Amino acid sequence: MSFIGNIALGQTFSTKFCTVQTTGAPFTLAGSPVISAYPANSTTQLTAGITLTVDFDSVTGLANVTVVATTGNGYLTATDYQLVITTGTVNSVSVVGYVIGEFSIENRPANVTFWNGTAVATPDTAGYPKVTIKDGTGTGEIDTIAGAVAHVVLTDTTTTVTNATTVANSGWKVP
Amino acid sequence: MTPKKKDEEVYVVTLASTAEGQTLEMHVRAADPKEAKAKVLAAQGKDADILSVAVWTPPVDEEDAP
Repeated sequence: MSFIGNIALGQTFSTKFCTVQTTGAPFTLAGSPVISAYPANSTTQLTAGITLTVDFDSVTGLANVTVVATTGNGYLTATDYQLVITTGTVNSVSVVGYVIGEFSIENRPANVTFWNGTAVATPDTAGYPKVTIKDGTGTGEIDTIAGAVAHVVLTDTTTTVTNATTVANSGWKVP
Repeated sequence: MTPKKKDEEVYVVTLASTAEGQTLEMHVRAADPKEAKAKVLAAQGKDADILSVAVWTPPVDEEDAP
């Protein structure tokens, strides 16, 4: 049994498992097999939106499970799920109860202590990330020179100017 | 003369599931749909309810798509 991952609500994913007989050799899952998703410690069994393919790619014993984890199929955020064989046999022996995988939906906070593999800088003010702006004159860039911002263009209408020493190309007339 | 055996293909056989909203399939390598059905019934039991049989087309990764 493995942890498949923490997915977003509405996501579709697939996982695989193998069924074996007592000798250890792979054997086809049979007996009208059913995979159910159990939310956390609830006894609710979700089956809608699950596709079980036995002998996937005609490989004996290999099973593929595809889950469409939407609200329409009964899935919720902030929840862990276990995929369990709730009906099925292998070489006429029941395998009900085997957990074949586990996943969660939006229930694992992202690790924000690293950004792109680098430790995040300590903020100057708690709650405000410390960032370095991409410097330049291209689209989406800000031209900074020694800590100042160059080429600032004011586009809003200015109604009052106080303590201005030079106003050029504005078309204003000072009374 | 024995007719030439066709190349085998992987068939996807859809079976009726006992679970609400669940799709149950089985992949089998067979020469034709009839043989595919027979193999599925042999593996899943003769009472298995087969809904459809089709040649399986493996999913294509978006990166590999033309």
